[in-house]
Amino acid sequence: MATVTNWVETLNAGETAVYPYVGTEWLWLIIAVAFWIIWHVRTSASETEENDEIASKSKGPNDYKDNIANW
Amino acid sequence: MDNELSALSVIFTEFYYWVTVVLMFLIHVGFCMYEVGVSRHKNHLHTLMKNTMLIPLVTVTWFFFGWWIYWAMVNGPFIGTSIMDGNSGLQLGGGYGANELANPMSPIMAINLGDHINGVFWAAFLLFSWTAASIVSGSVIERIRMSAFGVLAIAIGSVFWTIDASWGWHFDGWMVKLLGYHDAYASGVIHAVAGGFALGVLCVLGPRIGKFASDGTPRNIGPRNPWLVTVGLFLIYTGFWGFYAACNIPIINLGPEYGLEGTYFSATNIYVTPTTLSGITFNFLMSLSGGLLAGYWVSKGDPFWTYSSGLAGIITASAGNDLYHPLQAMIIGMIGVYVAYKMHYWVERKFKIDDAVGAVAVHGYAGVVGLVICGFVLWGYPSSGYEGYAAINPIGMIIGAIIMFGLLGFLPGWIIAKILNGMGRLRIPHDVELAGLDYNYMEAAKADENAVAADQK
Repeated sequence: MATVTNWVETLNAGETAVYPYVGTEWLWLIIAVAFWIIWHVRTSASETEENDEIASKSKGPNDYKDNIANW
Repeated sequence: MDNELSALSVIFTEFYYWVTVVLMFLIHVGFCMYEVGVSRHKNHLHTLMKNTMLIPLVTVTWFFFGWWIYWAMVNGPFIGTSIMDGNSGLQLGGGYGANELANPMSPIMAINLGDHINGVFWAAFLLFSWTAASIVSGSVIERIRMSAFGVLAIAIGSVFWTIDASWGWHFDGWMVKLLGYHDAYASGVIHAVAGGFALGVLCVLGPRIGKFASDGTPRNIGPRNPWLVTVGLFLIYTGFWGFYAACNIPIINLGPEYGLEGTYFSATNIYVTPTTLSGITFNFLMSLSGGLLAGYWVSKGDPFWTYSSGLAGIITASAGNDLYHPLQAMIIGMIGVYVAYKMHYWVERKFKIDDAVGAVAVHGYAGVVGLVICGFVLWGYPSSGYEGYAAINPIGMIIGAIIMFGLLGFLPGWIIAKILNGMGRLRIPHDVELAGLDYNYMEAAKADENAVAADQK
């Protein structure tokens, strides 16, 4: 639902918060914090997976040089 | 804003901070270039992503709780007493910028037609937070887990530097009132704290494989790309210049603030004591020059250290650059560079600390030296225009330096790194460090190249 439906009325009334769904900030905050926690858990897990994959290849310190692309 | 003059003043202030934020973005661009330039080819992309991803990690947490902490902790709590309302606990309400406004659910933490300052002020401080985290980022390259660095970046960027800023970089902060702490352009509140934090992490993280010979002799690893390092540091200088402007209040009527008769419009530092943008421009450039001169001399023309020393020169003089004479700023910058350079190699040899970019020296040691010198050079100056504040003094500044570098920097960095290390989440596996963090990316890119080449035959 739009917070502002008529700019003249809004400004005359002295309303200052103009974003949608004023009063539901707590809900957006909970969603954002939940996403933030999930992001950390998932990216940490994928990092472990990738590290395990690289480690399993048992490459030496200069083997990467074979993979330098020359596009 | 009910008349043209007040509207102009408000919009000017809003635009002023907005410009400083954009300028300060260059600090981060510079740090990214610099770190990649120092890292080895097999770690370039990981190094870049580590520094890039601290942007959203710190930004989001700065919105969640970092800004709130800044306004909440000015009394310690329970150490000082607020001049705003006489409270000595957490500062949760009051005038402009008080904590109720920094609550992430507050209507003023959004587009709000009744406020033109909160967002740009929030952003200016946020860019300082990125810098604090980015300082740590450079020192730990090529062996830290990205996820561990994320936790550390949030800790320094949205918690610990924020507490020290609340204590010592706020007109109502208890350190300013009780210790006479003065740190106008953040020798301590950003640089010493981040340098100390980095040292705490490095003590636990350990050196890169091969950094020290079996007899303990250090070896030089890098910089790999001098041009990225060069341009990166020039961009950091540029952003730092914007940071100086961001630390000022561009225009304020000190008359009612200080109980003067009539009006007195001035720019001020963050403590609301008067200075001028013109004057600090002298000092920024002279301390940069002092740092470059000393760095070139002490390192015998080493480009890496000379560029870094320009930065260290500014950092050393920053605490008092709102009041120093330009020649004082230059000499103070030179002293800081000399101490930072010598300390870097002494600590490296003595404690086997592998600080890949010299961040602990350039930011930490130079910041501490800057605070101590400021205590002597500005001894007796009032730390604030408000009544009842201690004057700037050496003891207060030395205690302040210990709080910044040790209590809020080194100690939390060491403890958090210990916890992460205990969980096996701090350092990448030995085989990954040997192969390189980008091994999979590079292997895939090479396979694509070969496949494309085969099709083109």
